Amino acid sequence: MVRPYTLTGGRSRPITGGLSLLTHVEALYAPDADLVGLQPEHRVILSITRTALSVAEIAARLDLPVGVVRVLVGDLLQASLVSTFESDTTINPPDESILQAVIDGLRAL
Amino acid sequence: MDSGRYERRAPLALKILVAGGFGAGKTTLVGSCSEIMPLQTEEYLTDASVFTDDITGVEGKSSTTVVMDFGRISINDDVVLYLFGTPGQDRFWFLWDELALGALGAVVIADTRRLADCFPSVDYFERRGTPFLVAVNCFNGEQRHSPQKVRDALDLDAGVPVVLCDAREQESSKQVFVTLVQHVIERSHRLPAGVQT
Repeated sequence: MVRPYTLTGGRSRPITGGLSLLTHVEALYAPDADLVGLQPEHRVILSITRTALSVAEIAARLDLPVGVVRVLVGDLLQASLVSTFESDTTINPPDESILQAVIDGLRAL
Repeated sequence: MDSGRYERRAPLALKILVAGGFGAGKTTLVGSCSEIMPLQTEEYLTDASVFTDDITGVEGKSSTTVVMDFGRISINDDVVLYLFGTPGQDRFWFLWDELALGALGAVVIADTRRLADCFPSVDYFERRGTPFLVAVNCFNGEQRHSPQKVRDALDLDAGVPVVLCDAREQESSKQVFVTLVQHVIERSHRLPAGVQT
């Protein structure tokens, strides 16, 4: 067993902030990027975020605490290897047509 | 709305919280509708929680790992529903504020054998103004109390739906979430335009 924050060199706060559970992370196309110095977990995040994933999903897939994932994603942001963007959760409640689509989608499960 | 975000094809993320006392059926409800994943959050104990946490003997401990249920339902290419089972213990409530921020709504699962366990959840969502409903989990088809009795016991506002469900059954669980979304729509009709919760 590895203590989770060993992966972050003991850092518990990301270099850059503002990563919520539903912030989406997407790997940038960077063929010439210098990946030396990245940890295996950084590389896994890069590979699974070729299509955008939320911070919560990354944490669940890697089975790592959300706090650790925030630090690791912060590193990748700093290195310009990923971009992040917020899902539009601020419109609350969302448009009724969207909510109706949710109801239809749930019924179709 | 920033239309640029849609160009990046970020799906609209809608968040539904599933709350209720320990053992009331949160994991079962999330799992019956979604691929379920455990989500670890390691959080720092805030001053508020330090007072409520019994930290005798672990005074050096400043963070705690909480595992909650996390599920995802892809509605279509543009909309994804995220289900978060809130941590059951009262002492992890400091985690809820981030979860509740921007949440579409919440399901409070009630186990009628231990109805009092869901008082704190009801209280929390009432105070925050988060739309919620109470889902009475009828274990083994057993129904000990009518929805009206549960409503009275929890002193719910007339507009808050109370539904019976069997959290193990997908059809039943789906109906809980459908009712919640319908409640969100109805509630938005009642609120004057421009009022956001």
